[in-house]
Amino acid sequence: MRFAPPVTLLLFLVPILCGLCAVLLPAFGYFPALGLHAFSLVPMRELFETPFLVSSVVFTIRCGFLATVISCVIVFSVFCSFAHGKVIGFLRLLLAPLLSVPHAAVALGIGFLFAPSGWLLRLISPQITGFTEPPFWLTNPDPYGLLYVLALVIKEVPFLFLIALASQNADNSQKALLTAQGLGYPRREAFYHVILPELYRRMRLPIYTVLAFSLSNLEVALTLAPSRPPLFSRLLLDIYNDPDLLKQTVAASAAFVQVLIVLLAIAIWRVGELLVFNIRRQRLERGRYKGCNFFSRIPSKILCSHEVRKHRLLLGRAKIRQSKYTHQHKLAQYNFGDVLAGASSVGLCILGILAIVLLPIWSFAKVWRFPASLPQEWSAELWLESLMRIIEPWNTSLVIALSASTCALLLCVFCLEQETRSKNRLARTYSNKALLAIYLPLVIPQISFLLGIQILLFSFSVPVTMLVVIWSHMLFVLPYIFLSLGDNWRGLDQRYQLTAQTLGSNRNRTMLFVTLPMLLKPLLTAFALGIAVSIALYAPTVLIGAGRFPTITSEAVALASGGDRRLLGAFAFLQATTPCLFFALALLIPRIVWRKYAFMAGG
Amino acid sequence: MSHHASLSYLRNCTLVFLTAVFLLGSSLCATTARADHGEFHKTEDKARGQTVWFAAWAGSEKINAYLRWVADEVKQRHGVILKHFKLESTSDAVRRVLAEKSAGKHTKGGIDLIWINGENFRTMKEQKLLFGPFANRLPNAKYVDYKNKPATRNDFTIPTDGYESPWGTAQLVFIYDGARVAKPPKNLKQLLAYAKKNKGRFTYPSPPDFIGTTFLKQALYDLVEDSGVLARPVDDDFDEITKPLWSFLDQLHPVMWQGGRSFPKSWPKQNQLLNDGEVYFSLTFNPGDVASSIAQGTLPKSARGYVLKRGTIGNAHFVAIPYNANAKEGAQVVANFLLSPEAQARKGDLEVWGDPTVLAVNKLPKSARTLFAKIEGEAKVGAMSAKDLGKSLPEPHPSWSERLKKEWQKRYGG
Repeated sequence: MRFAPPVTLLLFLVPILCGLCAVLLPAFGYFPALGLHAFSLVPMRELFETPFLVSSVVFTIRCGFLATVISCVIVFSVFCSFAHGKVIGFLRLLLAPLLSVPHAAVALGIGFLFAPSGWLLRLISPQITGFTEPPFWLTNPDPYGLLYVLALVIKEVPFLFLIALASQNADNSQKALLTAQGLGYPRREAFYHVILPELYRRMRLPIYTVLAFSLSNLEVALTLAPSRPPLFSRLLLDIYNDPDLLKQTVAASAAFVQVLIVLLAIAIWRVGELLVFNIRRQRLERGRYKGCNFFSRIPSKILCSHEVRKHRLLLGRAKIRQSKYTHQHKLAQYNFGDVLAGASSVGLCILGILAIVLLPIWSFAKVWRFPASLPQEWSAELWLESLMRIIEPWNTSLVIALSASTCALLLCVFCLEQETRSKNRLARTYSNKALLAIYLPLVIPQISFLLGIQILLFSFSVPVTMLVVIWSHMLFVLPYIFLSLGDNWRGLDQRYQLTAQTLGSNRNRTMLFVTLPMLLKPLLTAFALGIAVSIALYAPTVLIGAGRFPTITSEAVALASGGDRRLLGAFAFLQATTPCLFFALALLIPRIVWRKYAFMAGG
Repeated sequence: MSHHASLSYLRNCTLVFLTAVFLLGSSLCATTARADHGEFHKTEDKARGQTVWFAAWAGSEKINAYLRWVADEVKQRHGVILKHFKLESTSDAVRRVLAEKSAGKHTKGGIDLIWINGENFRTMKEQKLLFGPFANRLPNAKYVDYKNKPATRNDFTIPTDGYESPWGTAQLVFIYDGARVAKPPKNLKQLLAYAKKNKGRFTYPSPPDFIGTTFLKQALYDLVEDSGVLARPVDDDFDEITKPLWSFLDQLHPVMWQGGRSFPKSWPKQNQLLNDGEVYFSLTFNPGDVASSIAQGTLPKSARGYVLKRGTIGNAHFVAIPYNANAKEGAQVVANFLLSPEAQARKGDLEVWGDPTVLAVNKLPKSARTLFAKIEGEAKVGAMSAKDLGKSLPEPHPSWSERLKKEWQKRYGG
């Protein structure tokens, strides 16, 4: 147990450092295999000569921020409006399938919905619109990248929602909310003052992840982003794929710039956080309550403790005791804001689910031309042909995903348990800081990162085995598992463990029989998330696995380069259903195991 | 009405044909095997039992199926186990070899055979990442039509020098939707006039996609006065020579799909747009692609292929062996089998792949020639004959692609 954090770091830090080197050295002109032995700024200079570089960076940052802000606003509004009701459970059911669908599939489906020849228009053509041919609309790709943002939001909201739900279960937020409401605050106000700061603190890292992903992902960018200005990730890919091998150094410097973009964006976000926090603190300290205005809706961090915060609220509240809001009134009814929050999230779900449902329909289409709203000729040929060949890759996918997620989950559990046990506060924060490094694979562009790992593996003549592939998947699975599990674990009331230990149980027993069962739901959810991440991974499977272990995703991506939408539909469907199954189990098992204990079974 | 009948008739024909191919092929191989061996014998002996990892683009289920057939055959005949390293893009394989070289892994590399041509070949050859020369030592190389298909000798004007073995030929083909376009424009002037009349219905994949880049080169061929300059490396007069091209594109882009603000990212994406009815035109490098895409349903039945009046750019694609390949002998055996009349004829069949052969069919033994006669006899919707394809123009020097791409990106963005 004691060795868990160092082992995790060792398993991760070395490859991550190699990945970083693979970016940094060539970025500054050092690439011995190409005969470049001296450091120089030539690749950087060449990168800055790339046309549209600046507009590309600006466009990328704009889209990334837009997607992240919208996702955050939706998730927080939903939580504000329906924090503990049935609605949340319903939304959770709706959002779970979206979480398990690969980004590429969502992008494809959304593209097909909104294109000038897309399904939405096909539904009403030619009867209503009169179009017998697709019109000249700039809807896919649209010049502002809105479709790109929409697809990202559809994928990010379920992720943030899941994390928020997990971390919300972890604390006694419901009690705090009720207390604040008892003090006479309207629900919304109480949420923004009491719950949100704590919730946001726990969500910060996932939000940074979302931001980083929005700035650097390729799957969605390739399908939905406009050509001009190009998103930076696409620019990077084009340089990488340049047949001139010397361009690899330019690509490395572009990868370096991408890391910088992500870090810069996170820094900007952080400054924004502090700014909002300061404004809020001043407002709170003044103690004047003006009702629910714009600023009170923006998430902020509040340094002071729960108690102090509540006290200040009480003081502020005292001045407006004559408020038109009454306790009962706000508890009973949903206002316009709530309806908007609910509608936007349900709308997102519907769009996302539509996008996914269209894919299997495509897989059965033989002929489906504009403006027919359903295929004109159907055929199951594709399924019959590929079904037999799909079993083996599917098997591989499952084996890799299950082992990578299991190992990652075990490592996480050990690390977290060790963290709980360590008495030394300083050491604890220190190891926490060090563990931040495991998030690096989410920030560094995959191609260059994996190039470094490849070189590391080759240098030690590590044979290409399934084990190596599983390990490479773990690099990407672990951060997500850590994200979704960490706060639940840290949020668990330690008095439970203390009680068990007082009753004579040793630490291992306590972990096994108290901590783990209590955290059954978050554990299973984290596991399912790991499965979803692993199944959707392409680059590590192919680059580290040297094509030796084809998975459904590696097959799908290779076939996708041939552009047959029907094949993609079939594969995307398979890719989505597998993790979906695990998410369903993660919902179901706790309910069965804890059916007699409503508190444990949870929402 | 007779649709189903004709389909089943076709199927029967194919069955008969396939059996014939198989019988003929096996007898043919048996005879050639004994005749041409000698030195290659040793290679074949060494190859037995080796596993060959063939890094090849896997975007087409037809090609993947063809490679599965090849794997079955080489296993049966030569005891070589062929495995398809499925790729999204060839550059993944090139980068892998480079990574291996970086780590000093000069033997036992992960890739034994690689499907390659043009710029990727040039750069691998320049960086000494290829094994060879081996191509001329292959017994079946003597059937290759080096004389009439110069692209098999010079890959994008770069001499292959035996570092890659030809596999198939290709020619840029324009696809149009016959239901929308009555008379397709046969040169670029007509194309521009057509696009102005029918706004938004033409587009091309954005360079650096290779079809997009080829469209630029093709346009240059049509617009430049003396196409001889294109065979030489780019010189100082690039701006002057390409001036008509840019003024042509400046006029064309505003009347293209999305007003020229966005482009499809690749030719399959453009086929999709054609199938969706958003555009009337597409481009491909495989003349057999039109017929097979119609059969597959990725192009409408009304799609047809055609070439420009003055001809279109043609090239060849090859297989090469990385310098650090683990199974060099096995890879050569596979490369040799890929050149066999049987494998080439099967590859040319539209039902299978529809990729034109690199062999000189008239030089083949009679039994082998009948294999090819069988394929040409079949008529398919959208199939193109050699006559339809007209004149094939040689690829310009690779430096042209590079400069054109760069200039295009500067002017019109990524």
